Amino acid sequence: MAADVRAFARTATELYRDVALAEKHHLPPHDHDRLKRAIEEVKYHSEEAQNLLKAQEQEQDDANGELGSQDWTSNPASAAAVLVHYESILRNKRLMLAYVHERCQKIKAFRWRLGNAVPKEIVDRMAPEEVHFATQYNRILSEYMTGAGVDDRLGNIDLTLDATLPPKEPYVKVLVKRDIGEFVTEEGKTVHLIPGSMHLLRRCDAEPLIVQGVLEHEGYA
Amino acid sequence: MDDFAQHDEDDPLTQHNTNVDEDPYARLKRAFVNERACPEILQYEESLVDEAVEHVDMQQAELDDRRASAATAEAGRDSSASDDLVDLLKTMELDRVKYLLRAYLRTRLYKLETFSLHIMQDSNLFSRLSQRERRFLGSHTDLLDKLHDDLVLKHLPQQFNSLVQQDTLVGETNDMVPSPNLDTHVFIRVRGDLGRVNVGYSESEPNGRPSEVDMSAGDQFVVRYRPIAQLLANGEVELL
Repeated sequence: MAADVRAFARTATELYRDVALAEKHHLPPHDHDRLKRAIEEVKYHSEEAQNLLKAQEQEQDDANGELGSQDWTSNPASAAAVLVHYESILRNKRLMLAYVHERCQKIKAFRWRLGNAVPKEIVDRMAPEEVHFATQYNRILSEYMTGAGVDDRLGNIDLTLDATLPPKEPYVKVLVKRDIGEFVTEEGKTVHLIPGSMHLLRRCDAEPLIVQGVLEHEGYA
Repeated sequence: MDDFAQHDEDDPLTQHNTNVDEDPYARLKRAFVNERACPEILQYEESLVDEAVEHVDMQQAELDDRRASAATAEAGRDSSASDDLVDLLKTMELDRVKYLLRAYLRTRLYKLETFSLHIMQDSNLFSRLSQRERRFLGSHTDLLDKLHDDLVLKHLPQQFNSLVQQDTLVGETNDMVPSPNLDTHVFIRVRGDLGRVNVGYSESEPNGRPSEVDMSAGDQFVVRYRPIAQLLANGEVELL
């Protein structure tokens, strides 16, 4: 493994690039192998640095018997090597954390955009740890929005609404994208939402459906 | 934001800290704009939110009543056009208040998520949060911790396994906690005559000199956030 390990954080860079260059709403599959390799590289760098440090200590003990003195001037090559190993560790660490963080942001965005119903093909691209995170994030966000366990006056408030701009009119023009058949509005009227048809709906009725992608916001009345 | 402009016409700019007589809608709007434009999280406007919720509930109940009585009356005669118009206006107002409320809370939630660790570490910032926000922040930080730990950190050598420090052997400071940039510039409007105000650097900041400007009611400036943070907290200026 020594050969490809000398790439100094190249694996981690590729790892991060994979998610950084992905399209906004696209989550690439979790790259377990590369992540594991990057971790191995950190271990390798860490061991190498430790060995160099030990060798240096040994050398100095032999020379003057003085413990803990750090005189690298006689040995600039290994001093530089230790530094490069050290910097490689930090760089690897940051890249890996950035990778996890970036994916985490995307996973959160799914919750906001699609609600609880994250499609299976997206879940399949997550690591088990990420699936756990997604479930738990969903839970704490719902807890916040329903106000579970807190005593305040806010009640139940759905913050994932407002896919449209600030309200100008009480009615919005929407285009039906998906067939969900009959829909009963808050006022108790029934609308047939047939794909391709346009409707004028009240904001509060239309909002949840726009977020779900059943309707598309076409403009104001 | 132009949609809300008409509410601003009678905004008493000359008033000092006296939010009490002001339209609650204008105050909620200001809370939202301040929060939106401010790099750090501000004090949670609890009474304002409560008031808005109460208002929404009341209006909603009233609307429901009107609809119910209109439905029974409709059998007898046509519902009058003016009633419909009033309904429409009330619905619109309700939608706007709700929108503003959600936008306000969402903006705060976004800051909580972005600066989780930073806010958790700072008791002053933490004290600005509502009960709900505190709960959310606590669980959110734990989740983030766990995710990064399980995937990366716990596999690294001990020296490098901290989420908040690059290297735990070097110093005590947490050098990996993202925090908002308080030196960013913001647009402000002065709400009352304040006289000369230092918008340069204070004595505790060695990298610059103080510089004073005259602030009178209604003036607008672009200034660094840090020097005016306290004025904003006192309600003496507002962000734009």
